[in-house]
Amino acid sequence: MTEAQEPSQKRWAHLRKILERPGPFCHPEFEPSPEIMDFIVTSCKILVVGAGGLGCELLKDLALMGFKQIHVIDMDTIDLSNLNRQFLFRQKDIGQSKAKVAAEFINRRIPGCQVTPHFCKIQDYDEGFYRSFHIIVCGLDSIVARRWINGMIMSLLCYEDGVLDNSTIIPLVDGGTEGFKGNARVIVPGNSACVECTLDLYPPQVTYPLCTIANTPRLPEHCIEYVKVVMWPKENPFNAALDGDDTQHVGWIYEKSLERAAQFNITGVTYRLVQGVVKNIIPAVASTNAVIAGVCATEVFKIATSCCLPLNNYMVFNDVDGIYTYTYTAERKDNCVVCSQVPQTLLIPDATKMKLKDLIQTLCEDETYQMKNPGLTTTVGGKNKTLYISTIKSIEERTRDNLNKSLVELGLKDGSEIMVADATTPMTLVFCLKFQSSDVEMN
Amino acid sequence: MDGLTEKRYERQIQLWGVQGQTSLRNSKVCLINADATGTEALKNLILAGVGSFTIVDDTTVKEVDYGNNFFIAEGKLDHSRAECTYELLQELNPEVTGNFISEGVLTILKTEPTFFDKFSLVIGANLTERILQYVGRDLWDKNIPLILVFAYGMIAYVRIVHALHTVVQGHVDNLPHDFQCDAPFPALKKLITTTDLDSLDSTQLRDVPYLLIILFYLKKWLELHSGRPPETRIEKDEFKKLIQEGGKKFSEGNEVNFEEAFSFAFYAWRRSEIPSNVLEVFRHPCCDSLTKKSDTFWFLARAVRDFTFYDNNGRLPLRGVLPDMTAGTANYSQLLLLYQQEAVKHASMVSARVHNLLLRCGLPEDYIDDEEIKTICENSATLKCFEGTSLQHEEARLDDFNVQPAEVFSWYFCLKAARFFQRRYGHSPGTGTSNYLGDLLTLKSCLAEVLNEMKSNRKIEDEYLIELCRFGASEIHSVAACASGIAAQEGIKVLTRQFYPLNNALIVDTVTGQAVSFRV
Repeated sequence: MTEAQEPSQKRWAHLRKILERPGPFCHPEFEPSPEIMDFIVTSCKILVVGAGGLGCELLKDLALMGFKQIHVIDMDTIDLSNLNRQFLFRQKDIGQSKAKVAAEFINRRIPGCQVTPHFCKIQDYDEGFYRSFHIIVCGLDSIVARRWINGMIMSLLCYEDGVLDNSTIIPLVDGGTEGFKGNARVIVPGNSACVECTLDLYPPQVTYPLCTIANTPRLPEHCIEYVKVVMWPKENPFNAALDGDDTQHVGWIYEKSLERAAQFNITGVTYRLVQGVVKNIIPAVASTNAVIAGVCATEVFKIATSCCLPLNNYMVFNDVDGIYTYTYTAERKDNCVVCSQVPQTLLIPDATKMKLKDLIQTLCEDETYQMKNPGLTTTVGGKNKTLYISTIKSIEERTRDNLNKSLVELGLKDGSEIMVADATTPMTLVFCLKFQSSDVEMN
Repeated sequence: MDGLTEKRYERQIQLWGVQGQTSLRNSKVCLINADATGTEALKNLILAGVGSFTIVDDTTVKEVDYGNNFFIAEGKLDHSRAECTYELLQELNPEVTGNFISEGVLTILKTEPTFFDKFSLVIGANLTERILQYVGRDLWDKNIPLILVFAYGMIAYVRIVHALHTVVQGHVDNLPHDFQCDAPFPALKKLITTTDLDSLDSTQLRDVPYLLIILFYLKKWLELHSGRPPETRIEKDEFKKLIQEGGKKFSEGNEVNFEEAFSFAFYAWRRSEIPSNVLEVFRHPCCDSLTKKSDTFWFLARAVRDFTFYDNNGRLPLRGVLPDMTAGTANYSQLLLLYQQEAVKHASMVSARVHNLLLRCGLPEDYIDDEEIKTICENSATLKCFEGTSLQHEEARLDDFNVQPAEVFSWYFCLKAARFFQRRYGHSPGTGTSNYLGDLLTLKSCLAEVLNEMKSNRKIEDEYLIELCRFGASEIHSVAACASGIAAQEGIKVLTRQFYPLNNALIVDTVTGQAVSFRV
């Protein structure tokens, strides 16, 4: 048998020891057998979401754990600053699709491996696509995207008479890194905590208060932020949106920041600092990605083979000072908006005073919902009514006036249901309005 | 560093700065054993931009390598594994130079005992006990850091072997500010004396930075209490009340700066003490006996020490930075400038001492540049030295401490037993041709010998040993990748001399997804 043919038994000798020998720390239902490796190599279908720092590592790890049916999805193209960690890319690949180049590299390096790339957004696919995978593993850098995938998998669950059909469960392994910190978690839909259950793990980004930036800057960062947030939109120097990778744009911000800093006698504005503030650069190194991806890939392997119990269910990693790790079981939220079967209610203190824009603000700012740009519809008198959708220009213009109308003015009543769509979830969420003001009830 | 290089490393320069990146570029790394574990560790270092690497491996490529090693091209059975892995690792980063030696490390050392001298870091992947001990001894004597990585079934083990490591930039989170309210420098004292919050109207009051508010009320307090700062719980509460009352005097809207002063009031009674990690550095024999051969760290540390005790009343040099404080720009800038100017004074005094020490040891004044002196003055609170443990002196003293989770720590002893077994019988447990559990009893007696040698009465259940036999020294790629990521990052810490390293061992159990770090 030559190497060019199907991989020989010997190639996977390391893995076979784990899969063909029983042991006391295995999954209680694990039955060692050569068929498990065969399943991994021929049938098990994995989706890798993201082909960046974590994605490249995941693809390599999965390919070297025997998986051959791998799909990878990423909408980004390759940049020079990726090359310190996204090792499937070279200088000549700059500008090309990450998913495509990554897939080609793996397929070339590991014969028999069939990575299929998807150069598009995760939102471009529907349930039909996601349903076809055994396990989904994410290496994303966006919380919104994470929530979307989470919402998608939850929407695939089928309940019959309140009992979950286990065949509709697609486990999700999720990894995240930032500098020297990382985390890995295993989500078994319908069983363990989902991304939405633990939304409080993702605190909102800290921003500088506008009054400081505008009136009393003290730090060089305040000066740069002012130029970025106030002067750029006003002066529109290049007739384009600010692009942190455009040296001309950054140069302009740098010049103006120096001027502003000089006005206030503030020192410390450097080109690098400007880049940092403008691009909001998240530090990233190969090693943290390798660690987290390694953990995630091991979990995928464990889930696919049942050789061990999976991580239960959240691991935190930090190697700034020595090595710090902590593993715990994140708990499900009983009334989770996405994964509980509990209908969601919104308490409205005074529906005659509360305007639609206030309701939207609540949906965005409340810790439980943290929506980005919710679009709302409802039914009034048996007919569909669009309350407000900001993402489609014509509808936005048509419904803009609704923002300043009170909920009662819009025809909503105690018990009315509103349907909410948002970037953070592929599903439409239904909320039941509960009015608290007794005046309204009397009407 | 040219623009393209800086762009390539942009995301990591955010972490360790241009200085750190330059240190990486000036380093030479040696990898012993180019298996999956070794190549993964080296890959991370090559991507990070080390100057050069050398691969030492005397084995030839086997079919089983294709099952877990990313850096071997197809069609290379029986070729030198050192050469094959070198080829695919080299092309990861055009800025790094590499080479390979297709010989065993013990053979090399016999003909070239100074082989390792040129390296800044050595990584050993899944080394056998015999090679471990030999190489470990050689590197220990030369104070060349050795990072060992093992991937064994579902378990991984990382061990740092480095006699003495020193760190200036610890990048410690939440380091207390060095306001030094207990001993304001002359210029600051002058500002406090000329500050009269009582005479300000509400608009002016809102512009005062919290540090100045604290200092103002502290001055009042000291006058009323014969120079004694608040000490008891009651006194501290009284002091905080002073601030609160001051803020209420002009009650028009929220006084954020007074709220900040209230939360940070403890700086009024916080004594400017030297952290224990710094004292340890100051007391280290290397700090006293400086010679031409001393590491630059000790010249710098000694200069800071002498400045601290002879020039600055037992206080470390000022960092010269202030956190942001809600205040008017002019007031904040004025306060910041005072701290910056004082810090510059301190730095120049430290600098003079550095030059003096260098000259006394027969070294040129410019042996250490101003940048380094500035760095140590800004980071004097995070100075730390790490004394390692040689492989010959590993003890189970941690048995007495509560290393948690205990069930993960047990693997440390088990892996040692497995290496012990391999040394004595020439193969790892569970890899012979017979039934893999046939090695169980022998492995058990090896473990007993290991525990005995380490003077440990630890009880380890048979299940661990059964699992060890089951693993049969398998090298699972994802486990290796995870462990090697950790090892590589520790390598970067050692090479950049930034961030505190693992001190000094770690076990990762991918069965439960837990890890435990401990000191042997």
